[in-house]
Amino acid sequence: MAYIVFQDIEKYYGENHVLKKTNLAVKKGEFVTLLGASGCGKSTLLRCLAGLEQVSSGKIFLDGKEITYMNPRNRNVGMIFQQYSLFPNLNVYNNISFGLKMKKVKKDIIHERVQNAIKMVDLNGKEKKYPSQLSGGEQQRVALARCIVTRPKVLLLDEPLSAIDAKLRKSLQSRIKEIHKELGMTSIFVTHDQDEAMTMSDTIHLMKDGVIEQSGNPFELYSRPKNSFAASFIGNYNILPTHVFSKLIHREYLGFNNVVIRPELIEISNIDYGKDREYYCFSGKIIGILPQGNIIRYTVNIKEALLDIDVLNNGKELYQLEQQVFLRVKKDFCINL
Amino acid sequence: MENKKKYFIIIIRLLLIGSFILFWEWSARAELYNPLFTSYPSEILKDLVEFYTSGDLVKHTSVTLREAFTGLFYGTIIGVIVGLILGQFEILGKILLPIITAIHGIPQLTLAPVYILWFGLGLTSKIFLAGLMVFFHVFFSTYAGIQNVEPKLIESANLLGAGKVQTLVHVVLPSSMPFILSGIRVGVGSSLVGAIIGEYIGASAGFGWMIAYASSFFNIARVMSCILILLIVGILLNFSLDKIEKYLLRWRAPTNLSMEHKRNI
Repeated sequence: MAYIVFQDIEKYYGENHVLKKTNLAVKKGEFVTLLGASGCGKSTLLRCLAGLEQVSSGKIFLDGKEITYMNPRNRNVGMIFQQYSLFPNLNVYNNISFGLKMKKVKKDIIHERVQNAIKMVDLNGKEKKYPSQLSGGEQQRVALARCIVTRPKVLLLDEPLSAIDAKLRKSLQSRIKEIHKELGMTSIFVTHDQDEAMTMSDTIHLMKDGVIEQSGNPFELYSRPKNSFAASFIGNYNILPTHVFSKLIHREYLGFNNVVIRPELIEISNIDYGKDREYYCFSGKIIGILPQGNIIRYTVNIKEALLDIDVLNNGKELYQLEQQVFLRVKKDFCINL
Repeated sequence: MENKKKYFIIIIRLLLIGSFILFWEWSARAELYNPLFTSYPSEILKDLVEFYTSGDLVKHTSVTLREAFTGLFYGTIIGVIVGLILGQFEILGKILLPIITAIHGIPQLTLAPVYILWFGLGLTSKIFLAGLMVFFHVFFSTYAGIQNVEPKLIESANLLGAGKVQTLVHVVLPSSMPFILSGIRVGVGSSLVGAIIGEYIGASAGFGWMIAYASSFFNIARVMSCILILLIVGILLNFSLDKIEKYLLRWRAPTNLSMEHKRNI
């Protein structure tokens, strides 16, 4: 049996059906991300595991024991919230030691473990500060330390980095990953940010409307989306209805509803590529140029549709607005969903 | 620059008070009105000295302060406890809150004679009145404080292994402390009011009694002496409350304006 098992979880808030027969298994030591838009039930699933919400039906198992109706304080689950939720009247040291004090751990052990945790999250010298005197990133690190000192069976992170600015977020992401590796702590991370999910996870579960749409490692999810929702949520796929795609390639394309193409797999040039059996070729006018740092995204109008194309930014402005360009994409790269 | 501004404000303030006292003294001596009704500073000072040397000052001050503080003590303790209980048990709160609000709506002054009937002319009736007035302030602010505790803090404490009582002591109570303290701050004033009203109605000592007694003899200098002392007591109490609050709420950001704003209301 897996370390954590959600079995047929149903959750209603009044009329609102939030979780629909959700099944999910997490292996010990795994870093799992629940990814989805807000309101998809990902946080609710996490809160059910923590015991902060009661499931309407179904069972939850942790480490071989059923915990569906257990009091949260006995579950030994650590959780970090978006709003940090530090105790404002306690300084950093006392915030971190709170859980151990509640569990009546001996003082010298508390001291040792708190010191370790402070070192781990890089907060040396801030022990005496109150939360109101810390920055958002520091507060979240205190929250992380407060969780890990109690050595929980599973660490739950409910959008912990959403309120933190982009640069700091990156460093906290890697800090969380490092700590996960160091302690081997099973972790479930909730986010709506696909990039964050990609960089952090061993396994991603993509959720929509209370249902897990697709599960897999970041590579699988990125290169083999199961349906157009997965394709649209991860990787900014170009999604073309099949009949539109048929018009583009001037013959009937047989298959499911949509053809999806990743923007970085389309080649762009100002010279006609010529015919090639392995490629689909199009031409059109550039109607949008969006520099995104390391890549530039061109939007090309090919009469029947708009296509996004990502090109590595080599510092040169290759194409101008309204310029006529030629596109081609390998037939294998057009995924039919 | 900041310091200069601070001194400027203090100097202007002192000048304002000084000129008011001088004007009062001058206008009364010049008999612009009948000084019998207002007395004047030098008379008041003379009376204060006499008040003190006769031993009455200490006696009456201690009576009134004892009533007010004992009332403040019980009113605060009971107010916090009842506030915590009703804040913790939602249904109980919903049942009792309208009743307490309704009772609070009765002007306590109208009930003072009844309390004197119940508890006699001694200290008890004044302590009861003062305590009751403090209780309402502290109770309502404690209750509001508990309603305002961030739910995620309670969840965090719970997940970290804290039980109901531990959560109450370590999380709920400290988080509601700003509210409770602002209740006590108002309570300090009403405890004095309660004690003095009680003394007006029936007593043999205390400021209230002294003021009523002195005004019946047109001894306005004595009335003013009493008021002056109450003024000083009030200033001292507020000052010490400030210090206590600063200590108890030292964890709060100094730039937290929400509380400053509240205090100004």
